[in-house]
Amino acid sequence: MDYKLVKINNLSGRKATFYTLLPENGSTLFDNFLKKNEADFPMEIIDIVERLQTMANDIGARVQFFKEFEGNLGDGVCAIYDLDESNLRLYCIRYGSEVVLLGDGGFKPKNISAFQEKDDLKNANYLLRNISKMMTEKMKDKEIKLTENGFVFDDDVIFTIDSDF
Amino acid sequence: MEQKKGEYTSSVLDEILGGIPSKDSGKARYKMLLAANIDDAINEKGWNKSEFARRMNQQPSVVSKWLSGTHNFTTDTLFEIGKVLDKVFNPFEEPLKDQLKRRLSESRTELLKDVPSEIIIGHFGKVDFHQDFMKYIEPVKPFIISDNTTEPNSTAVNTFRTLRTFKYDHEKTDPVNINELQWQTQTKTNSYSLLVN
Repeated sequence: MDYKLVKINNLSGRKATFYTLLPENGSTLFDNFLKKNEADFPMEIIDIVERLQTMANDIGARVQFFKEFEGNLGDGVCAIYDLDESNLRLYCIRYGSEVVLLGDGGFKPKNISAFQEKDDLKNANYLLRNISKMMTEKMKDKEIKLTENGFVFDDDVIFTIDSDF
Repeated sequence: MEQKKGEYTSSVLDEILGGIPSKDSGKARYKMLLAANIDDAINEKGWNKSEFARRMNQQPSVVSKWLSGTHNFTTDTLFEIGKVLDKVFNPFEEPLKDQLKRRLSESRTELLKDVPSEIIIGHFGKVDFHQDFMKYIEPVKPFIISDNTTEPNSTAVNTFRTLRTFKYDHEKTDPVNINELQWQTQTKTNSYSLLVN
C-alpha cells in the first residue's frame, strides 16, 4: 500500500512540526487513531492532543515526553507517554525536538506484556519501523531534507509498504 | 479534509479540540510546562537525570515519570523538588532560555539589516558569549535570513563566519534583564555586539 507523507497544519507550531501518513485509501494514520479511540477513551485522547499542541507551540518535542526504543535500534520509533491509568499508545518517529511523524496505535491492555500480542499495535509499530527505514533512504537520496522547520521536499513523498510484515 | 500539496488540516482534530470541556482545557499543557521547567532546572544545575534522582532519593524511573509531562505532582513533591533545585516553579513563565532565544530571533532582522543579502547567518549558539549566558543558548541550527541565499556550507557562510565577531559585556549580566537586552550592529567593521544595559 502507498502512504503519502503529510504535514498536519493544525498540529504544527513554532516549536515542533507534526507529520503523519495518508494511505491511498482512507484517512491519515493519526486521524484513524483519534477516531478509533475517542469514544472509549475521550479524556485520554484530549490529553494526548493537548500534549502534542503544547509541544508544537510551547516547548518542542523533547525526548523526555516519549517512550524511546519502541522499534529497532536507532530507528527513532517511540511512543507518546501514556497516562498511568490509560495505556493508550500512540506510536511515532521522532526526528529531534522539532519534527515528529505520528503513526497509529491503540489500547495496550495490562494483561499483555508485549505489543506484539495485539494485532493493531503490532501493525502500527511495524509500519513505522518500515517507514523509518525508507525515510532514511529517502534522506540519503536527497528526496527529502530534514530542517528545524520540518521536512523539505519538492514532490510528494510516497512510501510503498508491503502489508505483510 | 482540506488538502494541499504535502499538507492537510485534520477536521477530526479540530472537532476534538472544539469539544474540550473548559474545566479540563489547559491541564495537560500545565503538566508539560511544569515538566519542562523541572528539566531545565536540572540542566541549569549541570546534573543528569541520575544525579537528580540520587539527590531526590528516588529511582531514575520515577524521575522519568516526573519529566514525562503526564505526572500529577503533589504539593509535597513539588516542594521537595524545588528545594533540591533551588527554584519555585511557575509553569506559565517562559523559561529564560526561550526568552533569550526569542529575543535573539526577534532581533536578528534588525541586527542584519545592513548585511549583504547573499549572506546566510547561522549558528548563533557557537558565538563566544560569556559562559553564564551561553548556558541558556543551545546551539541553534543554521537559519536563512535572505531569500537569495545558498546552502549552509557555502562560501558565503564560511566567509561570514570568519568575518563576524560578537562582543558581550559580561560585567553587567548579573542578573540578565531580558527587557534591556539589545543588539547593536557595526556592519562597517563586520562586528556585532550584544549589549546589556
